[in-house]
Amino acid sequence: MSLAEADWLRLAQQNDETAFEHLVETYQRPVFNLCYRMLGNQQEAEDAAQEAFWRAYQAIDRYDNNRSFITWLLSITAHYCIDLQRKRRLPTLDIDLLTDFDAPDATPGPEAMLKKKQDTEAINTLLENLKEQDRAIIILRYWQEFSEEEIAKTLSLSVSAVKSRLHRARLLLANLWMEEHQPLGLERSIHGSPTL
Amino acid sequence: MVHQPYSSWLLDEVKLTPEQKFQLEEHLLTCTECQPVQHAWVSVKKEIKSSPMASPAAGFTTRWKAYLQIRNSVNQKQLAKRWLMGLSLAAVFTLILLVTQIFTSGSAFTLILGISQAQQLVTGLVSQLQNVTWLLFHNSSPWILIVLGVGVASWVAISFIAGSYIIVRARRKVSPNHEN
Repeated sequence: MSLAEADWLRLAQQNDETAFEHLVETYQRPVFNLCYRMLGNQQEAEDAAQEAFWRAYQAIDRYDNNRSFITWLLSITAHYCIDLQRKRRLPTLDIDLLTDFDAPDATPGPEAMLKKKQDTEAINTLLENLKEQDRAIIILRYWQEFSEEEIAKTLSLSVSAVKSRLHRARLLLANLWMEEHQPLGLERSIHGSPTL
Repeated sequence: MVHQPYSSWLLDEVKLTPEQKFQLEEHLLTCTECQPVQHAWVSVKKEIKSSPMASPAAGFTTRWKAYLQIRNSVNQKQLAKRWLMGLSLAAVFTLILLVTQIFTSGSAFTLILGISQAQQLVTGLVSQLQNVTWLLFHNSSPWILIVLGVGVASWVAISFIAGSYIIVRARRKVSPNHEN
């Protein structure tokens, strides 16, 4: 964290709304991405991200400055999204709304846009098959590039639990991928061979 | 065929020694179960890496400011609702107590008599307190009175400051247009 960010944080802890707005501006992307990958829907992700920031705003007094702010913020976000998913149990994917992704430097052509949409659809379909907590672990690991220790802190789990859940999630994703891409007539169990 | 530790090596992203790498490659050449898993996991990982971090639509912070105002207003309403509910509950509880008293004592007259007796008791206690205070002021040394006065004044001042601090803090937290 840069010194400027530390200052913004300190000001936000003193109830400075402008400082907190700066934090929202800075961290909106990782928070939104986590919500989006967890919920699979642009509008729900927007609502969840707003609520996550509101919860962080309410709890900023209790934030421990020795801890990484992004870990703390994503912890609030992940727990909120997990609760939301558990309550709803209705994973949804709104492909038509997937238009606000980071645009590359050059404006992509229709083919590139279609490819990107298809990739996102494929990934989200895979993620939907994971349990809420496993999904959060995969998102934090591969999009946020968190270490296993950081994931453990974020999701209030032990490092060994994170490791075993990561293994389980990767195996399930690999098996789902095989099921999706193998020729017809050679279907395989989602959970793969028990020997693995 | 034994798949461990190769399965873990494939999926746990641990750093392998050159010897372990060689063993894994040897196993993958012959194992028809681990090989497809490895290919599939590599593909999934590639797919994940090519999938960009999603960004919200432009103006997220502005929308958050509006959301903050709405949530603050909802919070204030909820707080007022809780107070109202608390007061209503207290009123209902008192009413239940009164009704119970009337029904158990047999008549409203007994209740009025009880209230009158309680009032007399309170009046007696206040009168005794006045006597004690009068005796204290006339028989004690001025120093004891000064210390007592300073103590009471400090306690009142501390309570007032603490109360004001809590109220100001709560108001600042819920005030949407607060500026430092």
